[in-house]
Amino acid sequence: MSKSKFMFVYRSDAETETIAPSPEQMQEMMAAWHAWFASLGDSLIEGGDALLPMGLQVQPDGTVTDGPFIEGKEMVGGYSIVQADTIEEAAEMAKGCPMLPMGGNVEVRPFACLE
Amino acid sequence: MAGSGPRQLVDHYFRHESARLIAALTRRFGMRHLPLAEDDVQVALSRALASWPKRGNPDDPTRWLLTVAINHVVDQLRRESRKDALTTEHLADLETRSLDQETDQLDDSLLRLIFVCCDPCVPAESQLALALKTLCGFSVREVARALVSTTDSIEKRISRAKARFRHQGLELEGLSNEAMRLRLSQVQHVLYLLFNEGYSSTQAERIIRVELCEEAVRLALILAEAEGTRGGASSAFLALLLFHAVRLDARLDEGGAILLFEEQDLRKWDLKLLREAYRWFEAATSEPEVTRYHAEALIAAEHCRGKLNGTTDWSRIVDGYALLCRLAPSPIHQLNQAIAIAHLHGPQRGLQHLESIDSRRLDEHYYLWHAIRADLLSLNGQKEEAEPAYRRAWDLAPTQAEKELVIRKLDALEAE
Repeated sequence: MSKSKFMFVYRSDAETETIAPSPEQMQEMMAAWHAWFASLGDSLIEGGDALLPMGLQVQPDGTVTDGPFIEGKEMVGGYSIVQADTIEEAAEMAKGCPMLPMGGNVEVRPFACLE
Repeated sequence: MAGSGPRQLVDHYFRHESARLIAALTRRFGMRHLPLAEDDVQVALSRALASWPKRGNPDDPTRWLLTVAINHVVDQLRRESRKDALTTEHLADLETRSLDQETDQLDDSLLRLIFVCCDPCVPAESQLALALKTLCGFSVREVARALVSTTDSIEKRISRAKARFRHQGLELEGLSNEAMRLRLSQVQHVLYLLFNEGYSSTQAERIIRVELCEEAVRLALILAEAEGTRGGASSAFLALLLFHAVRLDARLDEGGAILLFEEQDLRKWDLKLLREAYRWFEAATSEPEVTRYHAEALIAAEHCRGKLNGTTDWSRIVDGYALLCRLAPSPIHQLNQAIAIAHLHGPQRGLQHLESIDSRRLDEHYYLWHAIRADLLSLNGQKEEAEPAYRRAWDLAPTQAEKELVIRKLDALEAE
């Protein structure tokens, strides 16, 4: 059986980010991200990218409004694509995400397509 | 794996890049926009944190960060520009400047920022806080931890410095090489304080003390290598810091107690740094110019050589202090010279030298005056006089570690 694809959707709590991390802390977090991705090995299909907080939203009536797109207090900050046998296995992989200790969370979503 | 893979960044890359980027932005947009520059460098770094691990590091990380930071500043200035004619001019000027020019000039911009941040217009109590924040990329909390203070107090000190910049109209672009040469000793003074904060502090944690010393050495190295500031004075200053940095780990025992120079374990010396120190010292002495840092480096060099060889040439150290007293007269230097004289000619001659010092201020405030006097009295067999001097030293010692050092000597005196 071939593995299934999942998207990790990274969300962070807009309110926990009021104290900006220092450059040194950011570099440590960057190292933690690299270490996590390295630990995923071949399971990581695509590192994905980050999304900026600003943007536009087009409404059903065609009007265009300004972002940011915060559902409740949470904002989507980026995504990655992984492969795993089951969604549980993918969720297990997500437990190593460095955003979790910072108050963020990872949504694990299966792709609809079958491969 | 995504992009170019997890190419690791060197230690403190973000911290030091932060300083270079702030320098580039303040050079381009003016010192009055220092707060904006700092905020936007922070934005660029956090964007890098969000993106680089996922996409892989960009080919030219510095250029990437600079582009993001500049665009962010421009966006914000555009928003303000409606009410500010000066800013509009700035924006017009922007279109004509290329990013290549900016990236080529990064080190030069940082050099200039060092001079502006160490300018005498910055209030004395703000100097180290500002240097750590702006030149070393520390956050306010990290500065507070390093200087054993509160974030509130550090914020205040930094904003007082920034207010001075607005008044004085200092700009990075306006600094000539000649102006930098004239003001080199002022910059060295601030870096010396920074180094000492790390070297002498017994309160801050070890890792922070090491970082402060490393930062001072890093900035001193910039001065020693830059075209506009290199030469004997900068080489001697760097050599001096390195000679001390060699012994950083040997200075305190496991429990944080101060060890005397003769008690220090040579195995804890950083011999690689020592080679660097001698290399810069040689460079310094091959120049005609002689500064107080030449004298101090000479003394430190001889102490290191003596410890390594097992015999110290005290006459060289006495000469070094004589030179130092001439170039930078101070009763504290005379006091240290007395120790060297005592080693060379015996404690009695050392005590005679003490008598020639104008010690009124030392007598009231400086614990080492009493501690050294007590050491020499004790060596000279005058124990009854040594004891009250040690007690006075204990009263005046500013930290617990220093008090304990005095107690140790007092105990040794009584045990004899």
